[in-house]
Amino acid sequence: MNRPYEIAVFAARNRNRVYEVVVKALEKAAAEKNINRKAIAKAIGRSPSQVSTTLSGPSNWTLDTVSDLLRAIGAEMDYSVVFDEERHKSNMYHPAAQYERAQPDATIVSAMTTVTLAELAKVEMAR
Amino acid sequence: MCKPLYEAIDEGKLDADEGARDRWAQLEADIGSFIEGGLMTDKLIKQLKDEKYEHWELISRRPKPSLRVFGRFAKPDVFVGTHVVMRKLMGGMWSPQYEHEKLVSEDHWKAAGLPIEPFPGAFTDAPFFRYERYITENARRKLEVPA
Repeated sequence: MNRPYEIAVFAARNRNRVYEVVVKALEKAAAEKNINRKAIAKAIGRSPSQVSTTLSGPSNWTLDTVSDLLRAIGAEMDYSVVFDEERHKSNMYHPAAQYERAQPDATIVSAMTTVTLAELAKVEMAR
Repeated sequence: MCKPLYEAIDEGKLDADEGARDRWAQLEADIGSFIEGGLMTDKLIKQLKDEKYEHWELISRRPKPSLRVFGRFAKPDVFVGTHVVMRKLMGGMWSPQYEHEKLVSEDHWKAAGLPIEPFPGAFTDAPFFRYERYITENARRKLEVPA
């Protein structure tokens, strides 16, 4: 069995997002606690150049990388899981957007707007 | 994306080898990270010298082989990737191969109907070439974690 391409994209995207969260935490620690790469390196038993390589991009990061870097600044990840159906959808996925695509005629613009607002209200009430 | 880049990814995602597919998946995620407004530094996307020619490369180092997406900014926050090249095929920064790929990028850019030399109507921040003028949110040339 082969891992589907879309699953691999999702994993890579997830790694990129974690990278951003961790790097921003490191920047915050640098600004507020005067922490630098040398101190991070010392705390996790690596050389400063290894830390710089690690910070240059997310693609070789593991869960241990995340843990090590955050431990060095006295922090850790806080995890939560969001199912796709619970995630707020962008307008692109809104039911009214489907209606808009199906009815491109300019004469129904006002009706379409009504539908859009009604759909939006329904979604908002369901939250 | 210009057609050569789009086609390269499209072809890559159909590769029979899982490792090769993963490589293209990482590239697509790296491009997606830019599109979604993820944090950008010059380790992820940078302007190539000489800046006046407005060449940029989006960097995707791992998994090996390291890849570079050439391209330009059509306007702030709108990077148009033209094509992708394996880094190891290009030699040093000023190598003939590197310079050649910049010209190839210009050809793709032109073929896509985008304005070329001297960028009439196109975006440029000459003579300053400030990173934050090209990517206006969530971007800085260097990470703010001092050595």
